[in-house]
Amino acid sequence: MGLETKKLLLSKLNNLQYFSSFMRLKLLFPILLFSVLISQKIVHNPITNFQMGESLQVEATIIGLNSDNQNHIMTLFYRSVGQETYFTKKMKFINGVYRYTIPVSFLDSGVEYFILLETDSGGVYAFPDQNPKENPVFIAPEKGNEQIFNLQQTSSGKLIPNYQILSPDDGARLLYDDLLISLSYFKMENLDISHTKIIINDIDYTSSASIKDTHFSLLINDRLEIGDYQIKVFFKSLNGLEYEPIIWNFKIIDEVKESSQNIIISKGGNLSGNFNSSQNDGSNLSIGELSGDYHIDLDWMKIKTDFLLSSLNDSNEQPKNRMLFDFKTDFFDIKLGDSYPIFSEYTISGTRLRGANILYNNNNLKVHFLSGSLTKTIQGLGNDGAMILLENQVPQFSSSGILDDSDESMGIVDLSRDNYTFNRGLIGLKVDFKMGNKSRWNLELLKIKDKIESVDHAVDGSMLTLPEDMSKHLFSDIYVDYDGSGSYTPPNEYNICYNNDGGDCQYTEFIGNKNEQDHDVVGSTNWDDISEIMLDTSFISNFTYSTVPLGIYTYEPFIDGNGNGEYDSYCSIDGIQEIDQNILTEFDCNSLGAEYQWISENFDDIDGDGEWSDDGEYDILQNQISIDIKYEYLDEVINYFKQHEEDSHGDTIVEDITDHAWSECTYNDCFGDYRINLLSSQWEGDNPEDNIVLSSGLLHTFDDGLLKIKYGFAFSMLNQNIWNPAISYQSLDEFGAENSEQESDGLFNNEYELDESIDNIQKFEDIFKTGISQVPLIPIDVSDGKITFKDFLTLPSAALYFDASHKYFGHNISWGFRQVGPEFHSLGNPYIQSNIREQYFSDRTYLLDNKLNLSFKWKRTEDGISLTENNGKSDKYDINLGFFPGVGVPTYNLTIGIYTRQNGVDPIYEPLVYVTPENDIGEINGEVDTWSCELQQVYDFICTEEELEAGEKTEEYEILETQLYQPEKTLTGQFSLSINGSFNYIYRHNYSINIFYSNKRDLINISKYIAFNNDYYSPRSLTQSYNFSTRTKFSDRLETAIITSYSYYDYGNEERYQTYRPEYFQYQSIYAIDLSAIYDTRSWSGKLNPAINISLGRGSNEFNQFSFRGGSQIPLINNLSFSLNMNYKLKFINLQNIDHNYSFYMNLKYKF
Amino acid sequence: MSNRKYILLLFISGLLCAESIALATKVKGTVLYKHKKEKQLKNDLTVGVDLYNSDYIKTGEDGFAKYVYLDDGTQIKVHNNTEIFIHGELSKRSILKQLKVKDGTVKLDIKKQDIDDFTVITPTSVASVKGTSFWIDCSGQSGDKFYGESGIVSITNIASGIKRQLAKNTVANSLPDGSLDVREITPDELKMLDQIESDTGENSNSNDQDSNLGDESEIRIELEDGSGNQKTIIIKVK
Repeated sequence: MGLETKKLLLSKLNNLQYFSSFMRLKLLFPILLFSVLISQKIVHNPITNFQMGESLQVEATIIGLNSDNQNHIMTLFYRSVGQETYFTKKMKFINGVYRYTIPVSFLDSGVEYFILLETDSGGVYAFPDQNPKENPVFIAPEKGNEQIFNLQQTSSGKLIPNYQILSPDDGARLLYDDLLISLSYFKMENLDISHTKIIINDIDYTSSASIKDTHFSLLINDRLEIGDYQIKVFFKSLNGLEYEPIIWNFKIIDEVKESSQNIIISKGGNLSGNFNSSQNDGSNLSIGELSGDYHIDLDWMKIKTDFLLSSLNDSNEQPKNRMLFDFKTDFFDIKLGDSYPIFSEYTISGTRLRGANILYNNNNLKVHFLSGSLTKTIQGLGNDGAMILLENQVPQFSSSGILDDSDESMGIVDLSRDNYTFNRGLIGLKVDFKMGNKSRWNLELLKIKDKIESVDHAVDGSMLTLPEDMSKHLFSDIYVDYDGSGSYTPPNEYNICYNNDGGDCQYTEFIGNKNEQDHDVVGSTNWDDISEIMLDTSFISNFTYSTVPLGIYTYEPFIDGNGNGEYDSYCSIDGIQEIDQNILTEFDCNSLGAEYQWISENFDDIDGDGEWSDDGEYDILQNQISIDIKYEYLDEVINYFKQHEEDSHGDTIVEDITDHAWSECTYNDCFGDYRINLLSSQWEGDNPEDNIVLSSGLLHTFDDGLLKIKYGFAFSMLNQNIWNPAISYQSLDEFGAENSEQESDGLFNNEYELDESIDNIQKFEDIFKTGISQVPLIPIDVSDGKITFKDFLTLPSAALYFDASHKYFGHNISWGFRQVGPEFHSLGNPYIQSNIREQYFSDRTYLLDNKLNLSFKWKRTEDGISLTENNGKSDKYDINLGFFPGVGVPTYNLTIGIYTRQNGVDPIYEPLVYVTPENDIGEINGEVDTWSCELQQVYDFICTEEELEAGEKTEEYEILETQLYQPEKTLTGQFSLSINGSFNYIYRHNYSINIFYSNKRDLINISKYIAFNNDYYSPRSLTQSYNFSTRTKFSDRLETAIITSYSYYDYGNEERYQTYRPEYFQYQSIYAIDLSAIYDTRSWSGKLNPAINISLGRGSNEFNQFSFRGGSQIPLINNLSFSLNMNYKLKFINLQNIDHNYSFYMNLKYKF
Repeated sequence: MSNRKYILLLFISGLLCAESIALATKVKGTVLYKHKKEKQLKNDLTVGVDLYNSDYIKTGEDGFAKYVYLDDGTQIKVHNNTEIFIHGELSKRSILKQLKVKDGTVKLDIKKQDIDDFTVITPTSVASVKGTSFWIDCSGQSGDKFYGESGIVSITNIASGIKRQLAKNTVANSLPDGSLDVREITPDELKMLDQIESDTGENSNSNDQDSNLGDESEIRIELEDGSGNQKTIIIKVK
């Protein structure tokens, strides 16, 4: 049947329906009679049932017309029960009968059909003739096979009833006088109501009930006692099959008691425990959680509590556990514990708050108050760097080696804190007023400040590693590991090298007494190994000996006979190494006489090549000791080393009365003395912060909400380190000072004059702690000496917004702008993106009776808020079409996106050259100029020979480094299509098709640019994704799903631009197929959901992965359920390595 | 068989096939009732009585009646001094439901309708509902107030044709002059409705029963199109 014919038929059919409605209303009986006796043209014996597993033939003939006329068109419309639209098939005319056979594959459940006859004269007739589209003939499956094919059965073979409890509700508590027991089976067919049984607490009340075709009702005459009751209703079908019993409960209560119990309207809750264990790419994670909630509804107040206990909770980390008490009345909502308050995105928006979250709300006024902490105090762990020891000052020994106890010469170590978290306190208030009927005004204040006192200055048991200066008095001399043994080799054990005078090496690895005196750090001319001190383990927790590489040495050792620091030869007199530095050659030396000798410096021939070499690579090493102590023993350790020093260098440290040469203490083997400075601020960890945010907005609603306008602003101040000095005349004066004069010149940053009244700001320290670390330091730009409207628009720590939305002419339009300054900070919403300006427009409309949804969006995002500079910007255009034709017809969703992006940096295709002032000839302009050589004398420059030949000189220039200013200019085209639908073919199938394509193109002239910048990384990319999935429902018990997908993406420089950096290009493709099923066993095994997934990855990561999933949801007893899920992945990487990953999840849930 | 007899047979068979559409589940105080076939109001509506298409109920000063529809359990509470007509037409094992409120206060708890909207008609307004709960306070010819409790109700003022959406915690005031305004509900009005429920012993019971329905809860997603039409997606979670 052609499309036009179909349209015509349906049009006529609609006319029939209209006519039919009209008839029903106005001319019911005459027309009914007429239609029955006169106008019937189609003779058809309606089919009432069919045999499952067999096709179904529909036949019809014509009367009252020329039945042999084969030009009539007889069409069969048929559909499955529940389907919205009909299939249409032209019936074949064979021997005076029109026939069509509905295929067996279609006949899985009931079928509805009607027949339409279009005569050659243009007449249209239908069977049934009354509104056939809405009243089709229904054919049920043959009852004899019902038991085999009926999928509405339980595992016990009983049918599943379709019922509606009318009274009392399940679990109801009611007075006996209000008791009516009634159940509707209105939607159940083939019910044999004569077999209905109604049992209440094992007593059969069937005879007392009024049992009707669609429902029964039962009033119990014998008064029921107060207590719990259970109703059981048993049904049977017409063919004798039993239905699952319908069971529900109620409770008869006492009127007097009830009135007192009415204090509690309802109560209940959930308790759930789950355990999750997984291994992914070598990392294991196991999490156990216990969560629950409980609610009580008192008439005037609802109380709710939630909690979560997690095995991940650690007292040394931010809490993972959650607890909340919520008290709600008509006007108040009081949350105590962990809540996630929202004022607005500019202040606080969903950040967890532990404390009080109180909302008062009536129509005209809303007051929202917050008080609590965003983070709890973490003191840190003593054995994990809670405290650290920092070297402040090294002891300064006098030339005699004596250390006095003045601050100038005493060593100082700072005891600082690290790995802590301050308690971050928060106070917030939002007030929202209704102003007339059309406007609302809100004001938000948020104050967040770290509580310095919450973190202790010291943590008991903290392990400290002594700074190198406190333990280096125990270190060895420095040596060169010529033999590569990794440790010091004494000369007598070193038998590789030979002295160039034919003897063995005298001194090899220790060369502190040869040509590298700096290696002799201990202070004698001999090799000194690490100290043999016996450390007292009663207060030293741990010490570690190690050989520490200090660098690379290339020289073979030599004796620097002439002391010039280099290996060479020299002229000596009488073999005494008395050097005449004026004699520079062997010839000159020998020509002076026999007493003069030309001598090569003595060296150790490490590499055995017969000559001194300076091209070796030998490790410079030192034997060191690292000492860990507990914080409490720091004093003892200092005293211990002082005592060790006395023991090493003399009995007492009294000047002039000791046999110890104190001059040794100018070297490293003296400890000296240290003073301990316990820091109370400026610790190594996070600095304490102070933040205040003020926000205000207005909302106007006009034309019954069709037009809404809202606008507002927010302003923030953030001090990033409140340990730093507060803002004062003096601190600002010192800001930027480069010398003591500038520190008191009355100028801020040596430029802007300061007013002494600025000290008044300190009166507001309780509100906001100012300081030189605050942003902004100066809220508004005053550099030009005046404040303009433009300055307000570009306040660095402000946010502005304007939004208008209107709904007219079927278009839902929204437009506006939003700007957040670069220094806008709210610790209540740390994720807000700053330093952006956004403008947007969107329009959404619906066509074709809301079946077609069209939307258009444009959004421009600038990477800055400057009004004069090129901020860099992104423009995004999105068009979306959603087509939802109706029930039973696929839905379509199409999205097209076009995005452009440029970062405000123009590509530079030629090197940027500049001339430094010293190379700039003539007037200093920084540009590369060419000068005639004739001007050499005038401008004092010299032409080379080549330049003289050319007659001109080009200024020497340098090339500006531009790597940090990479240009970005891209155009992205994006397309996605999604089709979702369902169809019946033997079973019910739902399918989904998704296509996504995105191509991001680089608009920079790459071939030109990459020649200049070889490291250029192109932001281009290509992404494709295709997905097809289908879900088939075989019955209420069994569903399967198949998902296939292919995705591909690549990014980086295209092949033709890979000359310099081929590794920048990467690509990946993944093919995957996923098969899954859900099967309700209706037994203790619950709902099983096995699945398998195969993924094949090619490209940058080559892998084949096989995943096996499975689990079950098991209802254990009433209100108690258990679920289990497992996932095992076998991943072959590069077809060689195998990864075994798994996850396991189980949950036990109880509802009470 | 003559035509006359045939028509008579059809007519009689139609009457014989009349099926009840609802059931009275609670009756208190003075409740007058009239079946469409009967000509007089009787004070004989009792618990368990079947209700049919075009039945009429009128409650007295102390009267209260509650009935449920047989197909989906949609529940209607007829408070005191109220007059209603119950209409329902069978279609594909569902009931196309309509309620005419002439006067008084009615609380409707409408389950999601299978085939067509539940329609409520007053002298001033027409309300169309997919599935939600709300109140009607009908003052006869003087206009109506609709109180939204959940979901969306589409209300049309008959005089002007103005159409508005009633959402949760809003009140629609529909007047004979054609106006139809929607505003937020006041705490006093919430208390008043609560009190009406309490007076009939419905508040605590219904809440209790709701809570004991136990393992089913609803997620309602309210959508509004460009023309201001609102639709609600109800996701039932077990």
